[in-house]
Amino acid sequence: MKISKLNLLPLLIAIILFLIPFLWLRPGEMDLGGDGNRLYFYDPVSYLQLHTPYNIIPTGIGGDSISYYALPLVSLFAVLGYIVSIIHLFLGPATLLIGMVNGMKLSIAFISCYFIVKELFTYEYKLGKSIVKGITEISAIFAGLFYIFSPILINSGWDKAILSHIQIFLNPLMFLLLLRYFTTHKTLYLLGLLLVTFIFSLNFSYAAAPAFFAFYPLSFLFLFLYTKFIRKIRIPIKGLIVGGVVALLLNAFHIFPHVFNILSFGGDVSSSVFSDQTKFSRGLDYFTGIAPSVKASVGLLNLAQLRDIVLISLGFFIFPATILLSFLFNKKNKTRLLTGAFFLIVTFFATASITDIGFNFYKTLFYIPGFKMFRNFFAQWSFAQVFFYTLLFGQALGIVLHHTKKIYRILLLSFILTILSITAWPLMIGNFTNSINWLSKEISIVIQMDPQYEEALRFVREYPEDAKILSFPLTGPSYHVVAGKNGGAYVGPPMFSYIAGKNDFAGYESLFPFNEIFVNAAKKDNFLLIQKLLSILNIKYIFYNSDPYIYGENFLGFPYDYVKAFLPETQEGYKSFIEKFPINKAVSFGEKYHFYKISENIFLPHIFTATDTLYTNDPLNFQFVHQFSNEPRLAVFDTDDVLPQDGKGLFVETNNTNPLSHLLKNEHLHRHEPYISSKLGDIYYYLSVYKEKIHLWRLRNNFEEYPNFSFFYLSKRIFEISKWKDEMLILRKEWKEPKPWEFYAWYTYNSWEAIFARYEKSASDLIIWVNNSPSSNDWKKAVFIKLKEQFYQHHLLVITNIKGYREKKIGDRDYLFSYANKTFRNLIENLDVHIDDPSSISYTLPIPDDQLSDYDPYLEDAQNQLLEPFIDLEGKRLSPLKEQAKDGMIEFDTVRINEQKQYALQLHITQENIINKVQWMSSGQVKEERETSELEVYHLVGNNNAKITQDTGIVQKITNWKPKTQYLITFDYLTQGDDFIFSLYDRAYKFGLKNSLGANLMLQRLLNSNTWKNHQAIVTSAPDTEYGVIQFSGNSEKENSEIYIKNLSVVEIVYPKIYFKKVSKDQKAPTNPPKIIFKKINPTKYHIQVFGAKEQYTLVFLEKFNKNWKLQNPEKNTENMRGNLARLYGTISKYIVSLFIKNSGNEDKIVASHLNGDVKESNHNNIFLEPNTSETWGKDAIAEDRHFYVNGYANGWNIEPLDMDGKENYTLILEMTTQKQFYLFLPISLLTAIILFIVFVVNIFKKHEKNL
Amino acid sequence: MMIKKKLTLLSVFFKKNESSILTIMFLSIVADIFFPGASNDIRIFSITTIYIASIWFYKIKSRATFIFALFILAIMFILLLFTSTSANTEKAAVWLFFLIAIGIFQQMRER
Repeated sequence: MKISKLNLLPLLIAIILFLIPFLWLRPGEMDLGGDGNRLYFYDPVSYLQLHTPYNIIPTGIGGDSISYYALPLVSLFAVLGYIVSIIHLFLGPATLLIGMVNGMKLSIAFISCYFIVKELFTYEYKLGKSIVKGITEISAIFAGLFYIFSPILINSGWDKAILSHIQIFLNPLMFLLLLRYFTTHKTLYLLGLLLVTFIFSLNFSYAAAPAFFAFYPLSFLFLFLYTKFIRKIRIPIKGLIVGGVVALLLNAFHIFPHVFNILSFGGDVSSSVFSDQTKFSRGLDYFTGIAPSVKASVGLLNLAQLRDIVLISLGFFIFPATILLSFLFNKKNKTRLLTGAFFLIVTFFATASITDIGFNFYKTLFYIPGFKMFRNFFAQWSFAQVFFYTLLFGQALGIVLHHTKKIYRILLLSFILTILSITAWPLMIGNFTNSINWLSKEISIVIQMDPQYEEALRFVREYPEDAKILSFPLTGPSYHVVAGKNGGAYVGPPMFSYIAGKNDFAGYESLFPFNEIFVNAAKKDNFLLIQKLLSILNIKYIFYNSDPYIYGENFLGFPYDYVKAFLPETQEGYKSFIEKFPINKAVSFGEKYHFYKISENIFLPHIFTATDTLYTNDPLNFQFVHQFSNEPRLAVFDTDDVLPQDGKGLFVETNNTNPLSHLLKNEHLHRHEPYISSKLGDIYYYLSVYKEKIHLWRLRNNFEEYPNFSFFYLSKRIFEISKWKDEMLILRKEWKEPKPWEFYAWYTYNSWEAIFARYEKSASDLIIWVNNSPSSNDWKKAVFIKLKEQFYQHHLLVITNIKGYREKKIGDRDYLFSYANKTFRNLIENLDVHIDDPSSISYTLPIPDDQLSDYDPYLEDAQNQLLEPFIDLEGKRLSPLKEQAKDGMIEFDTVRINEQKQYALQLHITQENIINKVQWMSSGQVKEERETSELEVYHLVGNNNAKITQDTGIVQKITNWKPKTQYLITFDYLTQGDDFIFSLYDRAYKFGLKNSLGANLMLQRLLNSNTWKNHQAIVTSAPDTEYGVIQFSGNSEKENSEIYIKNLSVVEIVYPKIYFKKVSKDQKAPTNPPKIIFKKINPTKYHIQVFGAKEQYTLVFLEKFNKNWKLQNPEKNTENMRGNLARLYGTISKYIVSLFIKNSGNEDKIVASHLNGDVKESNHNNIFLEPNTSETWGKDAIAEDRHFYVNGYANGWNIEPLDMDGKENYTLILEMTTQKQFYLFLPISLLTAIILFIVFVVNIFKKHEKNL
Repeated sequence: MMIKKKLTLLSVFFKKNESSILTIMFLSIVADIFFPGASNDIRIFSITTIYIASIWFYKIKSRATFIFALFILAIMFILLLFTSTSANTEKAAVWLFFLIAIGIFQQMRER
């Protein structure tokens, strides 16, 4: 492609487009936040050294996650950043890098599209006349502008762009290189293309799989068809095969580790690809959730989905119109026909709304393993859609211009240019990169780094211990919020983790699996538990950003929303909250950034030897039960993994079997809201009836989904009434379901009787299914409670709908009232699920195999609130040894467990009614007679149930209503045949409508009785609630109506934990574990020196459990073929590496000593590569079969003296062994890249010489 | 023999009333777009099948399909203007998609 005069204009445009993004940010400004942080712009060197080359999650408790797919690009950024920092350009390295990447996106995308369209168009139109040349140029330029200024790409996330956003230019560039290679067979294009795959390896990795699979397969197919059938050129098969192999070698460093990860069944990645649960819950469910919002009309106009249609959007009709006109003007252009077909294919995938059959076909694709990556389909296919739209539009514009008069050409081009300019204007002036942080008070995402925060970063990077940080104010998604000098704020993953090399617990998510435990402890000021958490999470420092700018009015919701309910709401509150922590030293950087060091007696080092071991069936929670072990160096094992050899330290926690414990999160109050589109009277409604039946039949073995969808379909009946009530027939006779051949009776589905009959049948089917299911009785009862709650909700909805029904004949409404009441009262009364007395709580005792013995039962009573407790163990009454709890625990009589079975037991306690005195607030009359309240309710005809005012009903405020507590509300009532509504409100319930008392509706029931009846309801209060409200309001047609209430009680439902401690004759002998010194080599490798290991001991590594963390004995070779090969490779690589790099010369120096000197930390390093990197290759791993979960998340090894041949002093190497795959494949990729680069340069020189 | 004769008569009838039949068919597409409620596959595929049969029977050129597609595009424009992305707009979009697909297929065969 030679640069001619005609090429000058597009080149000039490309240069301008490259330069424009440099104006978006002022010197020193950066846009770094977002889900996938962009900290590689700010400090690419640290990002490269500390994060990119390691398959470790740098935040929270760690875990494995491959991140090295971006290695070449981040390395390139590091080099460019270094060069820029040397030459001191005025913008600053980060600003320049951001501008450069954005400039590349615009300019390369434009110029690539230009050349592609020109190439495609030129072949079909001979370039004999200058007019044709001019039209070709203009069409190609407009196609390029159309692509980069497409609303889809403009709205594709320029702010907080993740790395794969570079597909904006990568897709057209790769297509262009492929097109040129297919049509010219010149190796240079193939070489260039391969180098691009290496530099931008991220876009060819697992992380960018959706973007890759949405674009490249279709592009290859297009090019194949175009070359073979339109250009009639031979496909360079050999070149493509060689190219494919080279591409694989170039990207081997990330592709192979990922493939091994996917094929390692049971791992995180594997389960996300293959498991049914993720396939449906994270794939299909998400897809079906967002699909209705994605519109075909929007896609056909090249507009962005899920955005408002503004007036200028209507101008986009010019693009499909131009395409259609081109088809009218010219029938011969084969390329355009092929492009049109591909455009339709991508439009189908990008919109998923081309007919119901098309949508259902799309849904079936989610059964293909891995297809769930397209759950966010419209975004993932949008880049391919815009690209093929561009090709089609570019060619179509050329044809239209060719067939129209000059004046029309000018008008058309002016209109297109105007539309594109208006759309592109916000992007061109940098509005998209200067956007506002989500839900903030107009706080820009662009920051200039605060020098004091940079000092804080340096402090974190340099503190000597290998220990973690807890950051406050705590956020929900584990983000840091840092104010910039310019008034903007960084909201994104913690910088301490990514560019300072220390794991940071910056939020709720990174505290998993202890997040709920932590926030609840913080809410209750339970600092005993928080201390324990700080220990087992290896937290040494607390970082507190006291800046009011980042916590308060500027960020009222995101990213703090959920956790704010538990933690202080103001910076002042945080200050006093932090003071309660066991801290002893503070370092501050400026006024805002403070570090507090956790007391040494609380701190547990990253690696330590345990002094006490316990075994339980719930290690995650049991470790916080301080009553059974005061040892800080505690290792708690799961009895599913390992049992104590001597029976000592075994604790069995009873399993709660109370049905109400399945409803702790108010699952029964969930309201399904199905979307109703089909009319009941339509002829094909019959098909949807069978579709529902078939769906349920397919779910018949799915114990979670069958009841859920049954509830969904029950709700569907009620919502059908809401939507179609005025069109529904009243048959006034019993309805029978028509047989398939009775098509003349299908219309009867559109009747009230049919709806009620189908509702009853579905409910009865569900009851039968639950009764026949092999699940536990408590689960069955929980489902029935949920079902009953659905009946209550639906009864009220139906009655409300009947009130709004337009009567066709006098008496219709009365008939419907009577029919509905009869139906629902029958359903409610026949479903006999009386809620058990909360003073009797059921449990089972799962004694592990071969652990029959005497056991001491302990009942947890931290608040000292359980009254008169006793345990009934299969008829045997166990009484407490003392009446009062000691240190929050009540000990019971010893009991002999002599049978290997699941024991059933019941805890009996006395529960008190929290409403001491009923005091009604109301406009009605309240008479109290013999504990019965006679409540007269005034003028409530047609009242609005959503709002409580002093005029609507009788209200009882529950003041001692505790947060996050389950309550049973019971009362007896008599309404003398009138309808009343019982409502329950909670001050902070998130879902219901708010009443005038400031509380939100949780549940409502319709009450009607002629005799005294008992009513029960259960709810769990909101986490940050203050009070609850009970209300009775009238719902009858009368002006005044009376209700009698007695025995109103609100009782807290508790599930205290019961532990059975195995009685051992001998006391536990004090353990004397060995002393250790450990040293971090890099995040995937540690050296551990062990001293005085005379007996078996437990080594604990406080990092997320992963079977690939292995302890290796560097002195013992693995004696098999694999071991020999690994050692050979290791020796060779050691030799090669030693030619360039020497082993770390710094001497071992103790930088920290913990646990009375039992654990010491040597000066830690962060060495990615040195001759010793391969020292463990072909070496034996020890205690692999004794590597267990400890403390609910971490790694623990029970090490026997024999594992180290009886030695007492030795060195172990702890390594994440999957990292070795990276070390294996990286040299292959690097070598291939170097060779390829040399060949590429040689080719260019050869071509240059030839031209000369 | 009788069947053949009847088919011939039918064919003659359809040929004689070509403009009326095509008008009815085009109007039925327009009616489907303006018909209240969501799109319906039975209607869409029935009309599409009849349209494809008409292309074969009446030798309709791709040009006619694309002119009709332009007409549907205009309807989509009006609907989008007044009803935003309503069910009717979406039905127009689906018809536009189908007509472009049919037109492209026709043009491939016409070459």
